[in-house]
Amino acid sequence: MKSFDGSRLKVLVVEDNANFRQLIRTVLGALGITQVVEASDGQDGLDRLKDFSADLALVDWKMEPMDGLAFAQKIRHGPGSPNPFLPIILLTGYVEGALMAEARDAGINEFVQKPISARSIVSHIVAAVSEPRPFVRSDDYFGPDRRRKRQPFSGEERRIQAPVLLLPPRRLEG
Amino acid sequence: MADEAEITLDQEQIERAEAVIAQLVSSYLLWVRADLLRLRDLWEQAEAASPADRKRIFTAMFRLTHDVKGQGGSFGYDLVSEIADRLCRYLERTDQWPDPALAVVKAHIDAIATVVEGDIQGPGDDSHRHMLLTLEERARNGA
Repeated sequence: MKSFDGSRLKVLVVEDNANFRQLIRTVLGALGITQVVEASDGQDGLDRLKDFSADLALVDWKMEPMDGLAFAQKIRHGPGSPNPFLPIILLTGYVEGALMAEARDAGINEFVQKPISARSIVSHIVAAVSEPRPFVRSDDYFGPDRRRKRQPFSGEERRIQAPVLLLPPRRLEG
Repeated sequence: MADEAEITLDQEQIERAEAVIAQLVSSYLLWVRADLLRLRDLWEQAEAASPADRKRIFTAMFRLTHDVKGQGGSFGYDLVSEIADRLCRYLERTDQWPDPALAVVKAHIDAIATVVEGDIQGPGDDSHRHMLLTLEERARNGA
């Protein structure tokens, strides 16, 4: 075992509220994460990734003109995506089941509920970079495996084709 | 490729992150006071508008209130987040905006201001629980 070291981690923060961006950046700094680039909406985030090879993105949901789910879909499926495997943590106050399912379908890796605590955001960052879930490519989905537990499935197989499990291209040390 | 040693988070790292958040509390109080001014401004715009024009204003108020909700608890102001959450729910489910509904919104804004100016952190006391019950009743009755 070793302690988390964020000094080599590059993080993109996509959040439309400047105060919240400051809060996130401050927490990241406490973890030794100083390579941080901020963006004010999804499109701005995509633009920033053109010259910033982030290892992780912390993304708000509701933003204009491009929200966090549209950003995730562009990352996962966009023809010019800089990294379809980019771990994306959604920061959200929306925790209703249907909305969470919508976010998972967009390819979100982890969720942090607002208001955030130091423990919640730190533990999700560590989980995203140290224990990346395998990715799945199926007929209608590409993104992190949405099944969080490895357990046998005994129901009717509704997938037309078995999904393909993929590993992200590299495992981050932090 | 990193080695396969398990990466863990130690308590010291958590405490360091908590400490830097605590250092931002004075900034947070400036932020939330500015948000309260904007909420009051939006409310006054709504009061001056016709009921038919209020929906657009309260859509803007929802976004701002959602931000207030998202920040309060991070700095220990749990009641701010709780009241803002209730106001968000009320704004979400309300389609018609007669004057009595405006009064419900104002009561929530005033309650947030009471918590901030009283510097009430955590869940508050019996008087704050009573305040929440009163807000709940007013939101249910729409007046």
